[in-house]
Amino acid sequence: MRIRIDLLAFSERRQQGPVSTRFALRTTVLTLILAVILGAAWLFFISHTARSEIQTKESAWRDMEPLVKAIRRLRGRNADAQAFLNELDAWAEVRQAGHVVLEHIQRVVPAEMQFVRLEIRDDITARRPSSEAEPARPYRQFRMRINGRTAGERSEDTVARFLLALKDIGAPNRFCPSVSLVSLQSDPQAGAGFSSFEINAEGEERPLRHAAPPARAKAP
Amino acid sequence: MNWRTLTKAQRDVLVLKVLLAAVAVVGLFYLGIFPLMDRVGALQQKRDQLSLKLREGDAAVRGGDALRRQLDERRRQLDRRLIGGTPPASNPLLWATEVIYRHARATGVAVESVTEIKGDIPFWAKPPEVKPRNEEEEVRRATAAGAPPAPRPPPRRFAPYAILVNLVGSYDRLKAFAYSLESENPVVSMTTISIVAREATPEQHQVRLVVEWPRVMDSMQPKLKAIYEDE
Repeated sequence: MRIRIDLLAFSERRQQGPVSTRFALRTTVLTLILAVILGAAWLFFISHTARSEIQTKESAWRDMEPLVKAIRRLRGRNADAQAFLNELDAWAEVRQAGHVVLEHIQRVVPAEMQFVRLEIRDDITARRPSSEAEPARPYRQFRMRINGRTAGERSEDTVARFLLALKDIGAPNRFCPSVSLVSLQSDPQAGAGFSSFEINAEGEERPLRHAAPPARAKAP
Repeated sequence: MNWRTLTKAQRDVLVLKVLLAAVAVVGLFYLGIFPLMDRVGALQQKRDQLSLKLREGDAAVRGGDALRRQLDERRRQLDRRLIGGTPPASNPLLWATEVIYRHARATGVAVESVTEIKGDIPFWAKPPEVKPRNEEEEVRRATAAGAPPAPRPPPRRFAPYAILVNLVGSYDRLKAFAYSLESENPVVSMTTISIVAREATPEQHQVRLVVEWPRVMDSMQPKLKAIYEDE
């Protein structure tokens, strides 16, 4: 049996470690206060540094700003110039050269055929947009009407061959993939064995594109 | 100091001191340290923004020479393509007539008449009705539809300028005329070619042409002038 006899009163007891509780507490509190003071001093220091850097940079910006504004204006003009050029390119792209069309038609006309009237149209049209706020989408569309006559007994074969050849002109980018015979009839006024015909041809819509929007002059 | 040996009054004082110390610490952080940290953060952000602005500005200024060279090149291209290839703002018919007669003479077709086709600017060349754009509303609608709002296309700068040309010539000469006209200028278009056979002279046809060029719209002249302004 073990007996422990404690003769010291509570007030007489002392901490047995290397430092007293009071000392440990005081040191901790002091360290915390010191840390807070140092932190605050550091914050003051970097705030002061940042403020002086801002002043320097603002002064540099004041010197640079007119130059940057001039560059911004220059960019705007440059973008406008490019937009004008782009739109001219769009006009050039959508054009169907008339001399090429005339050359192709001449090549495929059979010897026994004569044109009375040839009408080619390739103007710009557009459908009205559904609302006024929407932009219209203009396009060119090749259209052709041929009135002519053929000589010989088998006029229908000549016209059919011509129709096929017309459909194919400009291949692979055909001018008028849609060709139709409107009428074919004997033409006694022109002479015996003559037939008159009318042909309509139509190409696909070729949109006149918008110039790319000018790049917005970016900040600075 | 021992809690058990303290009297009640001493304990109360101690608890009060600890509470006061805690309040002081919280107050110090909330009223002193945290606002200071926010202020420092804001200052640093402002400094960084200024640094970025300066870097970008510096890069822009350094690229200024290249930009000037590019603009000069574009001005030259515009000069070449606009002055030589599109009707001027004043007296366009005179300009167009000169072009037509020059090519007619060179290719041997006889021009009978050149007349201007007058008309308003076609509706498709006019800018759409200008309404103040309600970006928020558009974004809301587009989000509801599940697609971003469509960018508004830029206004058109050119509208067609057309003339009617009556001439007489053979098919081959007409081809040569068209080739001469079109190979000189990539934007000119013969939008109507009407060839009618003449019984009296089978080799010479009556030809009606509509020749069309893009022409800078009056509303776009200030923009064009601004491109040529000196800095």
